[in-house]
Amino acid sequence: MLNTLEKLCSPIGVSGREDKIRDLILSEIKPYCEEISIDRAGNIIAHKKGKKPSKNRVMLASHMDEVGFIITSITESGFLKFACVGGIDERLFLAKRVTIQTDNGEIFGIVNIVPTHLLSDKQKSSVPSVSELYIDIGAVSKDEAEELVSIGDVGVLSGSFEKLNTKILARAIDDRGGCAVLLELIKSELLYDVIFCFTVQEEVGCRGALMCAEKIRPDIALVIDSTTACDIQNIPSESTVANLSGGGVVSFMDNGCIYDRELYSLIMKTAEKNGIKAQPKRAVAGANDSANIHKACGGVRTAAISLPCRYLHSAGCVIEEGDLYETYKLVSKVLPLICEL
Amino acid sequence: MEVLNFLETVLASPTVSGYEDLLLPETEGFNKKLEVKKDKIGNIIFERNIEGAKKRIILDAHCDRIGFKVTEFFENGFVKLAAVGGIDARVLIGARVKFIESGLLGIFSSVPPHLQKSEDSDSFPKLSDLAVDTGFSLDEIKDKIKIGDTAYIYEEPITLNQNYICAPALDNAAGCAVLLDVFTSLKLKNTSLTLVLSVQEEVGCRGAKAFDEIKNAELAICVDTSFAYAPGCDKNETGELGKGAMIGHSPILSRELTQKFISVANKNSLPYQNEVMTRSTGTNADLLSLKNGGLPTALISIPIRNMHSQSEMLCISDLENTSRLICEFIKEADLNA
Repeated sequence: MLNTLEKLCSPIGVSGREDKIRDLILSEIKPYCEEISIDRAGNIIAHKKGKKPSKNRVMLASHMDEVGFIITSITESGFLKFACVGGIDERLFLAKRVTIQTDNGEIFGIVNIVPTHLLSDKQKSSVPSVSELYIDIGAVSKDEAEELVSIGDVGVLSGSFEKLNTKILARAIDDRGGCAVLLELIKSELLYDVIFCFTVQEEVGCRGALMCAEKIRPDIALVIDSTTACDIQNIPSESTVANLSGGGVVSFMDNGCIYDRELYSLIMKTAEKNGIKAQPKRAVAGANDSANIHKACGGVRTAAISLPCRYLHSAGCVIEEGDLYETYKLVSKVLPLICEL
Repeated sequence: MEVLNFLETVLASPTVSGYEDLLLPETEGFNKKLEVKKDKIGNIIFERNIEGAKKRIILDAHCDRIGFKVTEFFENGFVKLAAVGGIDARVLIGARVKFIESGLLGIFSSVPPHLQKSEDSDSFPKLSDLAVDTGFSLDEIKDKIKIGDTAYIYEEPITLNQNYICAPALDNAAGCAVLLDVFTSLKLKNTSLTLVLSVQEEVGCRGAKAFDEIKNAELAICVDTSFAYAPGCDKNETGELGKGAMIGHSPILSRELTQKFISVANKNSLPYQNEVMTRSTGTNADLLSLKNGGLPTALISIPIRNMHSQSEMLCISDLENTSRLICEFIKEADLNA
């Protein structure tokens, strides 16, 4: 799964521009799915046959899109103004490298910063909003910049895929990590027929999930996403929300959804019974595709299992490789039980 | 182009202040005929001595860069760092870090948006509130990293739109590259040259303070980097990328040398900019100009954007033009010797 994850983290797929990651996922799943459709928004809906038909219509979902930015205008001097797509800590941009997806391929840029030597003390401590920042691509005029990029082009904070001990440092773990788990399931033999969705536009309002749920009309949905692990320095254990090496993070409630109680218990018990690591998400915070799935078509029983991830929504997310496997193991054990429920 | 090769070599050695000796093995590749030595504080000194030379010129560029020292470990194995030199804390969240002694990679940790208190997003954390995540636990990391180990922000250099190079530590790899190019390409008759790649400028020009191989030098040329305009800067306070070397004017610099540089630039149709400072310059020139009862010093700076960040940026033509300017200056001085 590590190699799969590394492959998945490479293409840029900012919300609404998921083409490249979609193409990659399609190429990975084609040999394993009987029926694959792509709706007009770009969601992938893939039907995978198990050994037998499922009592419950079950849908699994991970989102293909990632947070990033979009170019809003180009100055006369060739600098680019931009805005965030999805929720990013705006402090992350200063002096960082970015990768922009243009019609002619990917190019690098950097976000300029006024050096502290030139600032007053008051200015030094103020946090510029993204609207005050500029991306520099080495163009000296608007004309020159327009040859390289266009208004509306999207991009991401740059970050290569690395191993840190048994952990992984990469961009876009949210939610290429979930996609990696889904791909592993698709490539395995399943007991029951299941519908896999790779959704679009999760980061801008869980929109793809809404379209998929309305189309599929599932009885039960299982969302595999990535969630905050705040097990960093100076955070007391009661505030970490989730810990790396604690296994898949099971949500009981977040800002978008109160999860099905029976499903939540089933998942936690299954983990315990099978010696699989799992942990509850110890906060009501964030949201994922469940927000729009659970209230579609009269209601869908929904559960979410997420990868614990440090520094979510940055170019340097950190996850524990073992948690990938524990999450996969948990989902593969839970899936047939959900189908039979 | 030689100056770019020198730049690449210097950038590849993480010469955080105190660790400048990492550059020494690389210097052997520069020119086997050169004599290299190190003085007691670690300044790397090259000399080209011409028999019967009437004068000596000293060329100085600091070869150290800002970085960090490991001071402590947190319970979870994260590493606490202190600054070496003027670290801009605003650029640290999400920045990747490499440790010199162990070669380990890490990343500065950060609290995610939905767990921040509302006042968090209104300010940048100080370095003392930050820590580096290497993926190891406390027991594991203590085997690999020691207190006192050195670290630096890690980014591979890139080229933007063919003409610009972006990397951490262009301050002052750019200055070193220019002077290495000047030093190795000049053919002189009457002038001996001393090139000093000085140490610990970022922590108070300490290498320049200690340097005492003046040997009756007539003048010194100090090459460093200075501020180039980017949006948000005051155009009156900055130079511009692509407009050539910034020739320094200051009460502590030799006015005669400043004017001479301008005349050489004009004579050779080389682009240049004026950088006017009101007192000391904040560079090794401040120290060199005090040597031997007063050593006439010129300060030539390469304009860069985003100083002291991982995205420092220069224009390749500025590197070439600065090298040429200094070469022409020395050639003219050599002729007039």
